[in-house]
Amino acid sequence: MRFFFRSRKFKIALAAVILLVVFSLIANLAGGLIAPQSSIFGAIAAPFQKLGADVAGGVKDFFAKFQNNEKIILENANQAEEINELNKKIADYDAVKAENEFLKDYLEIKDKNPDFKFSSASVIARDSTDISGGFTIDVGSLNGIKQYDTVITNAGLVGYVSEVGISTSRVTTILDSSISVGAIDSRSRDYGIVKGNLDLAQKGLTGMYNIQRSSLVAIGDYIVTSGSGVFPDGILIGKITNISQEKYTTSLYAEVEPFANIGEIRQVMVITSFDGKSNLSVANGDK
Amino acid sequence: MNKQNSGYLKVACFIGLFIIISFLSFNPFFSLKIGNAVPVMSVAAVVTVAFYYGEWWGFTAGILSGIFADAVTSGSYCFNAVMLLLVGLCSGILLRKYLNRNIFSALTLSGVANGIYFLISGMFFLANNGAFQGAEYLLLHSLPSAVYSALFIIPFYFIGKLIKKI
Repeated sequence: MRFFFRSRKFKIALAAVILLVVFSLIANLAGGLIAPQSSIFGAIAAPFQKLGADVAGGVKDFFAKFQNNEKIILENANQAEEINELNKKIADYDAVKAENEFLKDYLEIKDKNPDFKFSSASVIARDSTDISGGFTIDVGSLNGIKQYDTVITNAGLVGYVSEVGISTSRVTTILDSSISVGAIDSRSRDYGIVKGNLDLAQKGLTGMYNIQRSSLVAIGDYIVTSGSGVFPDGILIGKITNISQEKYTTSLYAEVEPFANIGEIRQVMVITSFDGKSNLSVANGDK
Repeated sequence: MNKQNSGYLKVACFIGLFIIISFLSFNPFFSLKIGNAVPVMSVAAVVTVAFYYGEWWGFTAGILSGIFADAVTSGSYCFNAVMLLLVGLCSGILLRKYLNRNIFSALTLSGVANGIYFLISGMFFLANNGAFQGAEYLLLHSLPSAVYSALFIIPFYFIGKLIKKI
């Protein structure tokens, strides 16, 4: 074993480890950058990942459609061919309709917020070990994406861009415990902080903390961003499903079901710029 | 088939295997998770490469698949690349010096490698989320994931055997 540590092979391995660590440290210190080796690898792999994601999405849709139609096909055995033909047409129509609705919703958001600058993106990879549903999108620094840019869907807030590569970026979702979003109850105007935790993330929920005991928050209330920090104000986050007392403080705590279906997202919009965007709050912990 | 062509074909087969593994692990629409157990198949695949072709091919497979995994894993920086290259290197050396080349050795190596991989990733989670959530994560997520991932060595062992015969 002693000879192994003196061998050329060991020195190569050690050099590789040191280089990887140094590159990653530099990326970390530079702030929100994907390590260069991974960024380059990611840029090369991104088109293939996008293709793979499209194939996986198509396969999933196909089987979902097949399952839904199984009963009808059995009941109408004589008309199976006709039904399949119609289903194909419906699927095409649904896809076009969904895309139109998606774009229409963004157009509405854009109309309401003319200061927003968007960049559309597709989800190309998802880390299945990440309980909070973090994912990779197919836009990066080349598309003008920066760390802490807000990520939304037509349903509501998804999270923020946590790491930026050349042509890919990673998104941390609102289910993650590292995120803190200033939020208000749209009805009672009570303030709180939306932050994920492990238990809630497993159920697809997030939490709203630091709600004053005297507040008027109620189950079913809609939660929107307050506009403090890196997130623009008025973006829908989710709906309160449960309210309880925080364990170690006198404040209240609410469970929030996000409007965006984090686990099923395929397309997102990144808000690259809006009036009043500030980086100061990032330093103060509001991401 | 001459020796050189056979070598290229073997490399192509392993690249194909890693592409399939990456697709199954990182596609956004479905995963092979069972309950809380989420498989990281790359560890068993790297052990397979080291098992049949030695520590340097294990090292190469580990570093490349690790860099790719880091490209799609949030906040990992170089964790996967370093862990997988060490898994490839150490598995190859242990096999050459101390272990017999049979399925039990492969299973043992895969179990140990996955155990260490998930223990260290769980420790990072613990450091970021506190002792209570960290312990919960280690017990309810890391442990079943390590066991589940280690079992992937069984199909990979036989796939590797087939590729070796080319």
